[in-house]
Amino acid sequence: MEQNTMTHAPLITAGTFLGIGMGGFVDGILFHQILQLHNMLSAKVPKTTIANIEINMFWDGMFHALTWVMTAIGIALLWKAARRVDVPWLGKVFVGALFLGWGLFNLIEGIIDHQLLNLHHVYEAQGQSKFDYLFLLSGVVFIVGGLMAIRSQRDVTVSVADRR
Amino acid sequence: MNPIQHLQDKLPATNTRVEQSSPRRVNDAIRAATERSVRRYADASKEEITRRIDELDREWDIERTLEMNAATLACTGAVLALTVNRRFAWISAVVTGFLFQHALQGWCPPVPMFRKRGVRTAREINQEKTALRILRGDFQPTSDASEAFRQARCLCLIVMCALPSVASACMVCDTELGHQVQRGVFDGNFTQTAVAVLLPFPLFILAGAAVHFGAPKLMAPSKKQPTQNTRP
Repeated sequence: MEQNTMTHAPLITAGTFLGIGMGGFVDGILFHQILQLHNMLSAKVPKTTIANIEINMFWDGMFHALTWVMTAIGIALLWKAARRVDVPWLGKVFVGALFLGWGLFNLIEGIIDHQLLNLHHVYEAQGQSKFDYLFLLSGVVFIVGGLMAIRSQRDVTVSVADRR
Repeated sequence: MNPIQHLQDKLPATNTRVEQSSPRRVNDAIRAATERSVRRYADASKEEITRRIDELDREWDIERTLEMNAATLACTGAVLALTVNRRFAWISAVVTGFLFQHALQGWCPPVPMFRKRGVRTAREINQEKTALRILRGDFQPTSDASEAFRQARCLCLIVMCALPSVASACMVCDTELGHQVQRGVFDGNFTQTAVAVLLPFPLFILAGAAVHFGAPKLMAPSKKQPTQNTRP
């Protein structure tokens, strides 16, 4: 049976990397730039002088550069997945993987940068606050939601002929 | 619109065109020298400040320096063309051509050399004169300003002089603030900071790999009958 050879892994992996990248850009663009709630090193180098703001901006740039790399990996994996006939093209799986990636970003970045290294906090004016925990919670919710969306499609089969 | 008016609108402003065409570090150096001079006269007597203002009145600005330079060269070229060889007329032609360019853009070949040597524009000289006149109390209704007020006023003036350079802060700016940013980024802790900032990313890749290898298990079919996805 051709449908037994189908694999979801390439689409889920591509979606996860894109989710990590897009989650990073949500953080960088929304929190760092538009709302300016925090910057990469705002807990260590307070934004009280122009020089300090510029230093934070440099490290924001480094963070964005690596976030861009995650997104580029995601696009490359998605491109490879799209060329394979044994990868079912299921929208719900892909969107679930995007949320899984976004959740992983919030959880890992939140634990390392906000909790362990104290590089910055979500709402820097309040330091370590409930917003840091809300950020972590959003990560868990996105991961669980993403996994549920992906798993809801596990019994959906697409034949190789359909994929072609 | 009148074409001459249109051209004037396109060209840099008369009183700032030389500064606009000078490198930022040269402008900053001149500004810093002005600040130092004002600071030196913070505690000076009125007579000393007046003497300094008189000095500034006699200081040659960039326009006067250029006029003398261009007139000397053009005149020399003309005399040599009339007495030695007609080809010397080219000196006058080139010099007056560059003077024309300076009138329009505020730049000609000798300008960078003069600016590097600290020759100021009339505007820059007037900035120092205004600051000194404020220190002298020219704009005060009473002359018995307290020492604290005098110091505070001087500080304000220094800040005012320094304000334009504040905007020139960037990683590659050749300014004091730019160097401050570079020192702040590439300090002794650069490597530790880079590791701390970029630490989540290897973990993201590991998480992505875990998802990739865990996906088959995640998508293992349940016991119920599979449903066929139909394409439109």
